[in-house]
Amino acid sequence: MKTLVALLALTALALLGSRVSRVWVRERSSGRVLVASGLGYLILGVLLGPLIGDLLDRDVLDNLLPLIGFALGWIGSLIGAQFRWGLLKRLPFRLHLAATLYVGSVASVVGVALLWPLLPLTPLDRLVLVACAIPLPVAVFGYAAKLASDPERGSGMLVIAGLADVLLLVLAVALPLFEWVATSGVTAAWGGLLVLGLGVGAGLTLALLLGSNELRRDQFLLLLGVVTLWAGFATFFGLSPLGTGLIAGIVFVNLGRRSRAWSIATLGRFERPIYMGILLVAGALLRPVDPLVVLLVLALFVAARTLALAVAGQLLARVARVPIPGRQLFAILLPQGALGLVVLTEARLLYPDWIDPVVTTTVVAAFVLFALASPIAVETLTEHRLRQRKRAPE
Amino acid sequence: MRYLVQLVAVLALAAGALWLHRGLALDPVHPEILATGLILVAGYLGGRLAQAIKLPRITGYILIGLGIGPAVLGLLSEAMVESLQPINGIAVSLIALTAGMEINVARLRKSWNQILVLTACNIVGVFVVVFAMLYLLSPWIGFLRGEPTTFILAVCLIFGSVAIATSPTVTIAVINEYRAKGPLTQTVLSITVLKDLVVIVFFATALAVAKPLLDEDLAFSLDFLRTIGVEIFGSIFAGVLLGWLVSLIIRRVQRESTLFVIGLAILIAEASVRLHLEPLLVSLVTGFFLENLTARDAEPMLRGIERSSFPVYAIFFALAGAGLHLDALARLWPIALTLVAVRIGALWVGTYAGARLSGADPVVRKYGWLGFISQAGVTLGLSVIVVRAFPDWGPGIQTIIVAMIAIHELIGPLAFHHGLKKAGEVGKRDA
Repeated sequence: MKTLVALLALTALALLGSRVSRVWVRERSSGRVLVASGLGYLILGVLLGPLIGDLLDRDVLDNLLPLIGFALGWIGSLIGAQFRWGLLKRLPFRLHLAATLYVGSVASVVGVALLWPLLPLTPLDRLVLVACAIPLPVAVFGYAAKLASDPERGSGMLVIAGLADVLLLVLAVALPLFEWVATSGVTAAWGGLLVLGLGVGAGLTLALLLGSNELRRDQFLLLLGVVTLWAGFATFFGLSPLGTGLIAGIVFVNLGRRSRAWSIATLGRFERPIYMGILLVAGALLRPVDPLVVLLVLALFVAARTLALAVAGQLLARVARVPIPGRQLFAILLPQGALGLVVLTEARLLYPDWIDPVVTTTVVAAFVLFALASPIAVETLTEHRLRQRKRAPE
Repeated sequence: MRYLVQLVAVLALAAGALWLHRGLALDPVHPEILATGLILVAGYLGGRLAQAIKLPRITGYILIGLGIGPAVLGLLSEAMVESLQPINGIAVSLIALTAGMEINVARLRKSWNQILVLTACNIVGVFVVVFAMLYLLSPWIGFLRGEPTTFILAVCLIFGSVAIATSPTVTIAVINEYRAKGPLTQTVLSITVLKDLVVIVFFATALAVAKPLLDEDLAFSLDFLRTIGVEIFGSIFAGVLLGWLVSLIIRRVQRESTLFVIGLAILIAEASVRLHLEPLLVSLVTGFFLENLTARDAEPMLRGIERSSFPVYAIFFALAGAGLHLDALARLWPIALTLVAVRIGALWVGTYAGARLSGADPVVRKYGWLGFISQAGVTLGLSVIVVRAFPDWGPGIQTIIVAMIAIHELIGPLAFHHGLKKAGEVGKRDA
C-alpha cells in the first residue's frame, strides 16, 4: 500500500512539478520562485521519509530503487548527450580551462577541509561529500547567463556550455573513484572497464537502432528500452547507471547521426519529473543521526564550499572572462546543483550499507541552505543588470 | 533482415553479459530493470520482425517473450518475470482504459440487441460444446480417468465456463495496431468486453454449483457468488467514482496527459488489488464513463494512452509470452489441441448462429468468430481460482488451460488480424 502511495505521490508531484516549471518560466523575473524549484520535493521527501512521516519507509524505498536505477541512467544519458565533440571544439580554450579550474578548486578546498581527522567519516563518505559539493545549479546559472548576456560575444551561451563541461567532469572524475574507495583498486579497474564497455555498448546500440528506425513512436520505445536495458545491466553488475548513461550519451551524440536532436529533446522532456523523483527519494533517505556530529560536518562542509566558490568565482571571472564581476559570480554559484543529490542517491544505491547517514543528512541540509541563497543570487544579478542598463546610455 | 540482425545482436549481447555475471559469481542487483529493458528492446525488434513478415506486432512480442523467457533461452528467469508483475498490472489497466474509451453508447444504441444475441449464442455455443467434448475425452485425461460421473460433470462445468473467456487485451491491441474501424471491430470489441463481465458471473455460478457435486459434505452455497457480486458491483462503482473524479480534473491535464494516465493506471492497478476489486473492470468502467460523459475533455487522455501504448503492449505481451508453459503444452498437446479446435469450432457456430438470428452485418457473420479466439490473463486468473478452490484436481485442469492459452495466445492475434483484413477494416480509423 505504501509503495502505491509513494508511486502515486511521485506521479502527482511530477504533474505538479511540470506546472510549477511552466509558472517559473513565465514568471522567472521573480527570484523567489527559484527557491521552489527542487527544494519542495526534497523537503517533501524528508516529511514522507522514515524520519517524520514514515510513509516512504525502507521497504517502499527498496521497491522504488529499480526506478531510481533507470532514472540515473536517463540523467546520465542526458548529460552525456551535451558532450558533442564538434560543439566542444568550437568553444574557446579558456572555457574548458575555467571549467577544469572550477572543479579543481572546489574539489581541493572541500576535500582538504574534510580531511580533518576528527570527523567520524570513512574515505568513501568524504569522497561523496566532495562530489556533492561540485555540481552547479543549472537553472540559476542559466538565468544568470541570460541576464548578463552580451549578444555580440554570446557569453551567455558559452557560459552554459562551459557549465555542461563542468558537470561532465564531475561525473567522469567522481564515479570511478567511488568504486576505488569502496572496494579496491583492482575491483575499481574492472568496474571502470565494465562501465566503459557498457556505456560504449549502450551508445552504439542507441546510434544503431535509432538510426535505422524511422517512426517517432518507435524511437521513443527504443530510447526508453535502450536506456533501461543498459542502466539495468549496470545495476545488475552493481555498477554505476549514471556513469554508464553518461558514456552512452557521449558515444551516441558523437556517432549517431540521425534523430540526435530529437533524442536529446526527448531525454530533456523527462528530465524534470525524473529529477523531482530523485529529490523526493533523496529526502526520504535521511536517518536519525547524532545532531552534534551533523552540525559539525555540516558547518565544515558549508564553510568549505562557500570558500571554494569564492575562489572559483574569481577564477571564472578572470579566466573565462564571464561578464559578471567575481563577487557576484560567487553569489550565483552558491546554490547547490540537484546533481549533487543525484550522485548521493547513486552512492546509496550502489553502496547501501557503506554511506554514513551523517553524509546524507549533511548533503540534504546543505542543499536546503544553499537553495535558500538563490534569491540573494538573483537579486545580485538583477542589480548588476540594472547597473549595466544605467551605464549603457552613457 | 535488418531487424533480425539487430535482434540477434541484442540477444547475443544480453546472453554474453549474463554469462559474464554468472562467471564472476556476482549477486544480481535489481534484475527487474534489466528485464524491463531487454523486453522493451527485444520486444520492439520482434514486433518489427513480425510486421515485416505480415504478422501482428503483438505476435512478435509474445514470441520474443517466449524466446527470451525461462521456457527457451532463459535470459529472463522465473524470478525476473515474477518481479515485473506490478508493471503487468499497470499495463492491464491502461489497456482496459482504452477499451472503455472505445465503447460509445450513442454508436452502440442501434446494435445493442445484436450484441446481446451474439454474446448469448457465443457463450452458450462454446460452453455446451467444450463441456461435451471434455466429457467425451475424460477417459484419456489422467485426473478424470475412472472418476464418478458427477465428478466429471462438475469438472466439465467449470472447464466449460473458463473456455468462454476471450482476451480483451489482445482484441484491443490488435484493433489499435491496425487502426481498425467498422462493424466487425465495434461488434467484436463490445462482445469481448461484455463477455469479460459475463464470464466472471458464469464462472462463479459454475463454481457454486460444482462444489456440492464434488464434495458431498458441502451444501449448495451462494457465498462465492455473493463475493463475486460484491467484486463486480464494487468494481463498477469504483470505476464510476473514479471516472467522475477524473472528469472533474481532466481539463486541467493537457500537456501532462501521459503522466496523468500512467498515474491513473498505477492507482487502479494497485488499489483494486488492495480493495479486492477487478482492475480490468474498474479501468473499463472509468474509460467508459469518460468516453460517454466527457468525450471532448477526455481526448488529451486518449492521446496520452496512445503515446504510452507501445511500451505497454511490448511489456505486457512479451511477459505473457515469457509466462507461457511450453512444458505443459509438450505433455498435453493432443488434448489441448483437440479442445482448442473444438472451442474454435464452437465459436464459429455460435457467432454464425447469433449473427443470423440478430441480422448482424455480413462481415460479423463471416469473420466475427476470428476475434474471439485469443485467451490470456482472465482465463489464467480463473484457472488459479480453480486450483485454490480444488487443490486436489485443480492443478490438472490448470495444466490443460495453460496449454490451451499457449495455443490461443499465438493464433488469436493472427486470426483476428486476418478477419479485420478480410472485412476491409484495417487502417480505417485514420480515414
